[in-house]
Amino acid sequence: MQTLSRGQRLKLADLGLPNGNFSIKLECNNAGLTIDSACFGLDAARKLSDERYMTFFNQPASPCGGVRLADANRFEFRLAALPGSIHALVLTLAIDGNGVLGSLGNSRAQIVDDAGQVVASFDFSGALFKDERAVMLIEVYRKDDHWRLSPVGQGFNGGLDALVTHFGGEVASSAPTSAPAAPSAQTAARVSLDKRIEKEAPHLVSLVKKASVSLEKAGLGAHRARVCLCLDISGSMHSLYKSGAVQKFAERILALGCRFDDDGEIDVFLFGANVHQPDPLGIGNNRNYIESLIKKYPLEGDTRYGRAMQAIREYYFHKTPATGPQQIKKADTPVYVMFVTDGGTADQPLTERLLRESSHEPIFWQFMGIGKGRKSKSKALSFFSDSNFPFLEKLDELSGRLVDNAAFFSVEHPEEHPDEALFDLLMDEYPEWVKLVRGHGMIP
Amino acid sequence: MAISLQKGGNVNLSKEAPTMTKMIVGLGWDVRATDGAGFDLDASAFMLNASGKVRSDADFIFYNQPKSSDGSITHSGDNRTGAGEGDDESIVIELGKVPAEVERIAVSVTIHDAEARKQNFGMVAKAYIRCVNAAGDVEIAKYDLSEDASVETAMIFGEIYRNGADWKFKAVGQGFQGGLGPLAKNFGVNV
Repeated sequence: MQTLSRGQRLKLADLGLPNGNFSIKLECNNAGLTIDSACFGLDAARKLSDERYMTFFNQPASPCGGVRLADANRFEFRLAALPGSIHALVLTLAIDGNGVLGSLGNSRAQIVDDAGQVVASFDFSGALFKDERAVMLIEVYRKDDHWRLSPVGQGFNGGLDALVTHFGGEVASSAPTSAPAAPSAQTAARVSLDKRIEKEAPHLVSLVKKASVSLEKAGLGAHRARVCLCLDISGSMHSLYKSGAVQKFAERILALGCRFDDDGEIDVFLFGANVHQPDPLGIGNNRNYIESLIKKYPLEGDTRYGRAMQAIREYYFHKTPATGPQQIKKADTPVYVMFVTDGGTADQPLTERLLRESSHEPIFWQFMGIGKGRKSKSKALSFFSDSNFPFLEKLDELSGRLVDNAAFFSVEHPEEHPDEALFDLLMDEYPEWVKLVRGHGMIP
Repeated sequence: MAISLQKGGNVNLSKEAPTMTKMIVGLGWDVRATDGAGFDLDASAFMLNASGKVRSDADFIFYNQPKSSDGSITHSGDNRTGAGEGDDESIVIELGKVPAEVERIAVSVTIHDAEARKQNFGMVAKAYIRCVNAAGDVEIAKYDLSEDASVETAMIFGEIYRNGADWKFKAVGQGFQGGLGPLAKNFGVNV
């Protein structure tokens, strides 16, 4: 076993790791500090240009599988799997909360081959640091067709934010439209949001991870959108509210919102005969949110999609002027509306008109019908030829729109699909719509 | 187009720049991007005879003795040439004035206070040495030694040496344990 020193540089092949398959195992003597580890995959300019290559507890593997957080303190590497765009992997430590790395006890990072043999160890402690709150511990990088490794052991007093800035360039010091600066700011925001979720709503952590996986699959890992949950409060929904099924469903949509957005909140609209907009559903208030909602807004005796859609459009776009020959409206981030109902609507013509009109706005309508429908993904239900939702099925295919801005599926029960399958369903048509509205210049 | 040298590689300066009389040896490195004590790097030059030693302490050119007694070598400290991205330190050699007994000139860089600051060359990014023809600020050769530097605190970056009637430059990139004092002693300087 080789002992590594800070600043040393060596070929991985010289450590007996010619194929680039190995792990780095961290043993930190925290001395009361809370320390998070992350691995940043950097491009040739040493920037995190693709934030999917930041591997940490909430994004435990890179898309290619080349970097994986195998367990809390072990990163597993398969360097051959990495795309050519990734030039360096930097394993970092950052303090969460108070303290400085100068008070770190005797710690080590061990390089372990696939047979479990420790081939090298970088021993470090607070003596190497002072007031740093985040450090680049070890870097694995490409040089002349070889992978090399160096214990860097240098960091920043500014903690994780400074680290992210280091890997992402200045945050919006140039023009606000400069695209490369955005991911790093986003990454920092996402990390802090993930910490809030862990602290305030730990029951959502695995849901958020599952939502991440579906978004990655849909190619929307770094996509931003505002999420709106629109719930039917007609009387027939009673048992679903009462059983907690709506609450559970709302939590799943909140998890999606936590990946599309960094504020940890989603907007909520309720509709029956009338439309209500209660406080947003967020990480801080999600427990019993639906129960308290229904106390405040009793179920109503009618179902009018159109009115709800009108209120939602007004909320997001009433101040946005329509421009261009197609009278489109533009926004920095699109709106994803999760529209949940268990029956037909009394205002079909209005609904159709609004759906056509809103096809000129960056707003996507994902309808979910609770009941029997031909658009059910459940095998059991697909045998039924009759449907509770002929109108929603028509909306899904409605003519006269600038882009296809709606999707529909039905479920027998809101919990019919496991989380993963539900998130996949929610991303069935949306990615295509994103491409279309971007093509029309509605979103950047 | 300047020649990019690898460790151990050399270039014939007299062939690349036949009319050159004054050469600037530029040395550079990236400013420390991380927090902690900055990297204070010092360049020095040793005028060596055929046995690889200085003739006297006067042949050791460094920040406290910035000019050789014959005037052939000058340490310009922070004087930036303005060429390229700007060197951090430079050493100017008037080739015609270099005494005949001086066979080679070793150019080294040491990290000031490295031990106390727990620093080494592996922590310094983008260190290089380059040879520039002072006439017209034309770069002849450059050696980027980042990947060849590791846990050393003193390094010989390069050597200018005689080859018959020609001057050549070699990319050395060799570390030396212990810093400037032991390095100077190694070349026969009484420190």
